[in-house]
Amino acid sequence: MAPRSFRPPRLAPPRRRPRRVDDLLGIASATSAWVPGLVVLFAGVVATTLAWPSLRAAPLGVLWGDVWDPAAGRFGAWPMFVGTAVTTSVALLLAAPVALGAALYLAELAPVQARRGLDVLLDLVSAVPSVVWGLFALDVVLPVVDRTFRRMGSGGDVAPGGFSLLSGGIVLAAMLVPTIASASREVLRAVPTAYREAAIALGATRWEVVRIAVLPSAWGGLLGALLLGVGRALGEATVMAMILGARLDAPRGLASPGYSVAALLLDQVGEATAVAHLAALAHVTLALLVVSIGVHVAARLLVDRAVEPRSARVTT
Amino acid sequence: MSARQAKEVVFRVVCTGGFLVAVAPLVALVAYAVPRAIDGLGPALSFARATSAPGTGGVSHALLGSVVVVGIGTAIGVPLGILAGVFAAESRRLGRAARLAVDLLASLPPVVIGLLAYVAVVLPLRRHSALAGGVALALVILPLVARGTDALLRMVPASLRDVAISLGLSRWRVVLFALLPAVSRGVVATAAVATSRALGETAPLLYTSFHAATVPSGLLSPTPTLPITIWLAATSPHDPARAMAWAAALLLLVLALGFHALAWVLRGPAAKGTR
Repeated sequence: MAPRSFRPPRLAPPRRRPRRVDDLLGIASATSAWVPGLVVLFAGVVATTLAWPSLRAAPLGVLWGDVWDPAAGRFGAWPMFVGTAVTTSVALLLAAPVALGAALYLAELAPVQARRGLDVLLDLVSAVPSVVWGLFALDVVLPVVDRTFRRMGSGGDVAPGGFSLLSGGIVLAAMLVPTIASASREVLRAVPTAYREAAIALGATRWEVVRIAVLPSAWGGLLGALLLGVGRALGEATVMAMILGARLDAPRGLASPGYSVAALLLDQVGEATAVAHLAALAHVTLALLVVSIGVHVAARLLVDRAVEPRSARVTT
Repeated sequence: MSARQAKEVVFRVVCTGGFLVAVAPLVALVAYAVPRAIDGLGPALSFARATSAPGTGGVSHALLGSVVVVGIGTAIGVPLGILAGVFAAESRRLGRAARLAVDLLASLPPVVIGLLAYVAVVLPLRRHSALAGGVALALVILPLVARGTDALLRMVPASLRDVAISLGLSRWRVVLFALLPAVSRGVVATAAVATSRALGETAPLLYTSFHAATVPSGLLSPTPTLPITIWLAATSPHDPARAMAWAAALLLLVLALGFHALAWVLRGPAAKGTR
């Protein structure tokens, strides 16, 4: 056998064996990243398919009618949309000032050593499950509201037991405060310290620092925090089903019982056997989805834009 | 007192008051729940009485069911969430799209997630099941964990990444051996917060795991959970049911707040130094 001729060593490294860790992690994470999008797509497709009979009949019909009577085959969700809008508005009116105050306290006033503890206290409020809020509301809030209504003697359309849009708004407010406040807190803390120092150097008091240096650059983010609360309020079904009073007719004022879109879904999907009923519910779901997604994405954009560039600067 | 000083005082009082008002509901809730729940807690926790109409028996079966359903949700949702978060933070071209998708999923109302799991799992299997409830909760957990992981990874100092790359590590090895270990405590804390959230969710479970009056016989049978038990008992006019509801509510509260506190401990005092 002829001696093997000399071969220069290859400069390029030999083919490496497959980089298993890389392949696995890369593929797994790329696959997982598809899940959220596909789930949302699936939600849209399912809702649209189920709602098709209703959508074809009248693209907005379900949203305008004000009689919801499954037995008679009439489906108008206007009262529920009103209920959602009213409870959300009441909750925001009550929650926004409180949340802003709490956020300002945590970001600007609280003693530095205590901040971590106070922060978590606020987060703990947000950790209370909604069904527990509902139970608490049934036992404590509703009787108080009921007594107040009676004393005020607002006649006519007052529900017994305090089941009303007002009760819904109040309880929702308690749930929204931590959501709005913790996002606002992060927005406020992301305002560069240098802004504050500049104002302090000019002799500003704490309030003046906030007014001159902090709030002007934080409004966008604070609006985003508020919208996060709106998104949460729109989708809250459990508490609303427990304390609004499940009234199918249009509500007549804050003291009147009402309903909300999410609560309607929670209550009625299980008993919807007729195609038209299911289609109407799916139609309402679709509307809720569109609004929720719009509000939430807008909120995220605003909050992230307010929080992110500066936190990135800190790390580099 | 000058007008400036007066404004300053008003500002401080209003903001401190805002914080107190924000926290007051929690204090009131705990103060109200503890005395009402203590009486019912003993009987509530016995398995012996854990069979009956909603609210009149024990709740230990619901506690067990909650652990099972949330366990399934965590087992599915946390790994998927971490991986999706890694992708969102690391992929140069598709990171933003992945982040948007996570936000879209996070914006689905819980009740809609429940309906989704109903259509996707309950209808094909033709039965309410712990599995369906777990899938629904996984969809609640996933976006929270993904967002948290994503945010944590992007907070990692660039120097750490540079060092890892300079050692010749490949792209995903940098993630696995340098970046993820650096944020592991934060990721676990995020997972704990997400678990806390999942424990308390009611709306996603009503059409998925539904309810049962006994200890569940398997993953494919209807499973009682604490939120659903409270939900059903809260609307009952009977006093014993109400007492049981409060016992269950206290258990749920302890678990949900406990996981939050765990996250707080895990995040540790290091967070204090970042600002």
